[in-house]
Amino acid sequence: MESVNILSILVFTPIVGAALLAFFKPKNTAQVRHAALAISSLTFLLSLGMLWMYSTAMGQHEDGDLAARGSMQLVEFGEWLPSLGVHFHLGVDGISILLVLLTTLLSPLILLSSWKAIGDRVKEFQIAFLLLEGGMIGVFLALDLVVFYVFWEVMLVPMYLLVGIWGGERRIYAAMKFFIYTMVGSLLMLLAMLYLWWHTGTVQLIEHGIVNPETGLLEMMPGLLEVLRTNPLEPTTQVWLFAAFALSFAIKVPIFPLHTWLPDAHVEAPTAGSVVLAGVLLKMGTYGFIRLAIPLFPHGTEVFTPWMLGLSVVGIVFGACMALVQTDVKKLIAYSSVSHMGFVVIGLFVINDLGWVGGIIQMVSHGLSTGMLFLLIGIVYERRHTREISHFGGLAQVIPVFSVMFIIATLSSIGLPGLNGFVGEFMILLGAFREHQWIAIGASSGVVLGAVYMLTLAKRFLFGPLVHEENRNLADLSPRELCYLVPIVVMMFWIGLYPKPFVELIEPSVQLYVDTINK
Amino acid sequence: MDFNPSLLALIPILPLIGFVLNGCFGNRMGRQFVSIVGCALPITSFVIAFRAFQALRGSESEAIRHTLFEWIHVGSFQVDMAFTFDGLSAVMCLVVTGIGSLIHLYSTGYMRGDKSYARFFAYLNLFTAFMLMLVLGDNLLVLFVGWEGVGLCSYLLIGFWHEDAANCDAGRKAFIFNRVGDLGFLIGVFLIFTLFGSVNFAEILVGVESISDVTAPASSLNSAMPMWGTVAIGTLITAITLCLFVGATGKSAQIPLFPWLPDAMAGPTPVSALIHAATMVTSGVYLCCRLMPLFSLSPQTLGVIAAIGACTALLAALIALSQTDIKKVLAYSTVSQLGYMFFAIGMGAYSAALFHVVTHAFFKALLFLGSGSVIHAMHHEQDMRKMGGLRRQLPFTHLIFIIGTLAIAGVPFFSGFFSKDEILFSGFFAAFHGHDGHVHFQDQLFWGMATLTAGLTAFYMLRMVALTFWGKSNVDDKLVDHVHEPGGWMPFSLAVLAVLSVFGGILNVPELLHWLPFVGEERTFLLGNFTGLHHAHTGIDLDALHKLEWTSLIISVGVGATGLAAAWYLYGPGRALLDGFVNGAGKKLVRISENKFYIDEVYQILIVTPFQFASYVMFILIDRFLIDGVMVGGSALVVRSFGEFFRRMQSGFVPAYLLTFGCGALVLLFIMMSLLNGAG
Repeated sequence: MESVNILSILVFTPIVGAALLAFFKPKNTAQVRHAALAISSLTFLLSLGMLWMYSTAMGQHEDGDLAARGSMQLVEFGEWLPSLGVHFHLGVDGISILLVLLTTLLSPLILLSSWKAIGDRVKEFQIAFLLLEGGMIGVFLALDLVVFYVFWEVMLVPMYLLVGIWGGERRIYAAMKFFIYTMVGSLLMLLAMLYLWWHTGTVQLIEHGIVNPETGLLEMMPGLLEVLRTNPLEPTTQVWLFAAFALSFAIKVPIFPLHTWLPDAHVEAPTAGSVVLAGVLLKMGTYGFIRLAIPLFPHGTEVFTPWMLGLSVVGIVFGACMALVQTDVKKLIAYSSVSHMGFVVIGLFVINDLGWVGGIIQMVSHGLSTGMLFLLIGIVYERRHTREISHFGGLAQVIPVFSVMFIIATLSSIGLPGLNGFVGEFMILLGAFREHQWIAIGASSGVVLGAVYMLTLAKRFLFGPLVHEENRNLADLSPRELCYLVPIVVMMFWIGLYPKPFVELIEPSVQLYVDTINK
Repeated sequence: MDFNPSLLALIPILPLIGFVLNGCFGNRMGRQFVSIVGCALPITSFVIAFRAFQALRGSESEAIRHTLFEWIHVGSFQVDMAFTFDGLSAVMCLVVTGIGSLIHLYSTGYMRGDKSYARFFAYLNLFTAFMLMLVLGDNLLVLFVGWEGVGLCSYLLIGFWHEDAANCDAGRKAFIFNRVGDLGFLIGVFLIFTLFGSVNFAEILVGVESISDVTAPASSLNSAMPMWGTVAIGTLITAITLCLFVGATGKSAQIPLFPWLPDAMAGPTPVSALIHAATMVTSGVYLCCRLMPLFSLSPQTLGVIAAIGACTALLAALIALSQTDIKKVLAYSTVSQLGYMFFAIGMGAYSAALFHVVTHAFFKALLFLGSGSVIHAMHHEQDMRKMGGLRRQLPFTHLIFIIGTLAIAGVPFFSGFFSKDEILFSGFFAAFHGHDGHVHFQDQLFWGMATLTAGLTAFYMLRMVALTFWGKSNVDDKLVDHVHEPGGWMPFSLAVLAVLSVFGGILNVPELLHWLPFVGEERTFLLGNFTGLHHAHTGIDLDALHKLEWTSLIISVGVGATGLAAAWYLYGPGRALLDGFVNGAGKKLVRISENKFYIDEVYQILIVTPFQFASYVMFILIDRFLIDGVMVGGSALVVRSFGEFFRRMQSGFVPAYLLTFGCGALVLLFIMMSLLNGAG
């Protein structure tokens, strides 16, 4: 089993698949669609294989110490640019594994959702999407800063194309805004990475074995985490480096006031773009904090913590207020993301086990609930070609199954206990309360505000009299649409009712990190 | 008797199965299937609950527990999906499943013609399941699942006829008011976990018992206390109980979070009976009783609860005086009676509060279902001004109303008499004897308000009966021939509830009246009563207590009788006198009452409108102008002060770092955006 490089296979299946799709005839759209769906489904199955291997590896240390159960598993270490110390270094732990699974689960569902919605340049769409999937998986698995950065950028381009080519009327504006914001962020991150490389001489994140060319023996080399732990950077340097990483990640999350690209991108993006943006791309920001910025620069983290917490609370309240006054349903959900992701950031910056486990669960939860909301909006958009909330109303009378799904997603989004949203939010707030009670109380107001704007949306969308005749003959969900919604609903209930397996995957790694940081 | 604890889980799970069956297959399987599934499962739950109750009585242990699975476990935080069945849960469980089953049966008749029959039963079953989770939960989090779940069902059922936007607005209002309360509840839970290190009731109560000195720092109780280790335990407990009470005011419709309950009457009438009278709205009272030892440690909180309870009771009664919608009268009456229960809790009379929960569930469910019969007979007319004289066509329903009214008015030996007497006596005791030997003015004031409310209650209830059933008929000529008594299971449910409303008091007859036939010491096992407990606790002379209780009893019965007599006179022979008052001297007062003291308007002006306005202004000003606009407009400024920033860079001052970074990024963004704008 050791010889199977499951992580590389996982990363490259969609990328190689995308390359293979290039040989298909563009006209044969059905074939291209099926092939792409097959590739992303295969990736999902492979990720389940990875989960199995990971659990087996973790199971071997059932009674073992935390370090053994929480550390990186299935690590791969290959030559890439040896002269620069760059290696193709991949690994997975409790922090990343659920995010990888979220990505591989959502991808085939998204492809299924755009079966009819994308009629133009079908082949290019499928290729771009598979590249995006590969990039996202790569970011979550990378243990080498350069590999991380490369995947980070690989991911950016197809996303830009998704908005810019298959988007709405103002797609060029939105795509450029997205691109520029993200580029600014990643440039600063690149500078910070260069500094780290120049300062420490390594771009590997964790300890790794290298064969000494002279002796031919395997020597263990420390990674950045170990180097910076024994040899911390100057406090001022840490502040600057943290700021550089944090800006890049904060734009992605997005943290107030860096969020204005998000509503534009969401509104103009096709359904597939919106789902992948809300479902996975936003999590890149919070993942970056948890994987790089916080553990590498503890002093920088300490200095910025009050700011991050404060801005997150502002973001929670502000995002909710903004969501309340939107007339475009996609914008409303986009602002709700600003609000919900604020919870995640709070969880990460209180740096205790509850905060982090809650933060990771909330990342997955938000991906599911917001992803589902965008899928549902895509479904009515396909039928009515409008996103104005006032063009709907009374839909529960004509499309009851759709309405039930919409209500479930709404309830999940407002954190009803028994559904996924509650578990993460509760852990985060409880974790935050121990350290900063006022922050937790401020953030809790999001619980009320979330109900206000989501229930207002549900009412204006689904209930009341059927005012628009065009809505009278809307078709309810088709079997294909049910196919990609039901798995998400199942996951929502699973996480909400029995989060134990998820927590057990996450907790050892989180403990390991948190213990090290708080030491 | 043997009772398998794992059966406990079935009590909430059975109605949940009913929800799934009716929700998924109800529409295809037809009404017969829906009715049988919808009613049989709650009835089975009742049977199991009753068996558990018998087992509990027969055994030595205080509670039956069952853990279903480990729910959330991170580090030191652990909660299980677990259920506890003790005396308190037993009472609530029997009320919920018993009255719930009767209301399910009633609904088979009431909802007969509705096109969403299956959906109705699915929601009703789901409600029952969540309500049972609420009362059976072994910890605050399972309770919270039920707590939020019943709120959800309330939302869905208020807006059940969702084609009408007003119904959905009422549902949304209910949910949002409840959420405000839930915020308090959540913060209370956080505080409890921080102080006691657990959210399990059993462990919290152990923690409470170990407190010997409330002025000691909190760290003496829990060494893992983070930073407020120096805060006194008593202060934290006051904070906890106040937060939880905020949650209770939301769910149980107390000042300031009560305006949702009258609007909730938009739902079908069986829903009003089950959710908005008998069960869900009493969960706030349940919460206080469940954590009774904790609340008892904070006299400040109890004072607040007593004040809110008394004020709510009086305010709602004053509004109920002038309402013309038959369900609105009952809704405000419910708010008022809930106020009574909290008043009792504030006086430390938990058993009286819980007893009133039970009797109130009997007679208020009866009254609501009775009003349902009227509304059913009148083809969904709810305005009492268009009724009158219905006694002739609806003699059975009339009798039901009379029984309900006598019960709620506290007429001797009806169920409401016993519980109300307990509550008023607890207030009387505090006002004229004092818990600590001293009497306080505010206690006398609260008692006065509660007593006045008793009179008003009797008055507006009989007014409702008079307007609906007595006098000359104002019924529309087209309707008059169609008015008929209910059929099917509806009279059965009404009859059972009527019997309970009359005789329900024997469940917990006050110690003073134990000489009555059929009652005795052995019947007070359920709740215990104020006199007995007080005697046992403080050793006050039993004779002195009896003297006080007789005085209190005579006053409250007298006030109730006055209210009934006044209503009988003013809405009968003395109608002219009343009309003269309403159109003359009392015009303004009546207007205030009719308009519900303008509370909805005050909320609209003080909270809703400013909030929406502020959101809109922020959207334009901050999002559009400042953030998106500053890249273009503010950049000149940024460039000019560039030199300044370079000097500040080395300051080591974090805001300066942030500012530099932010501005640097903005400049970069600006350059690129202007390129983009030029290109596009």
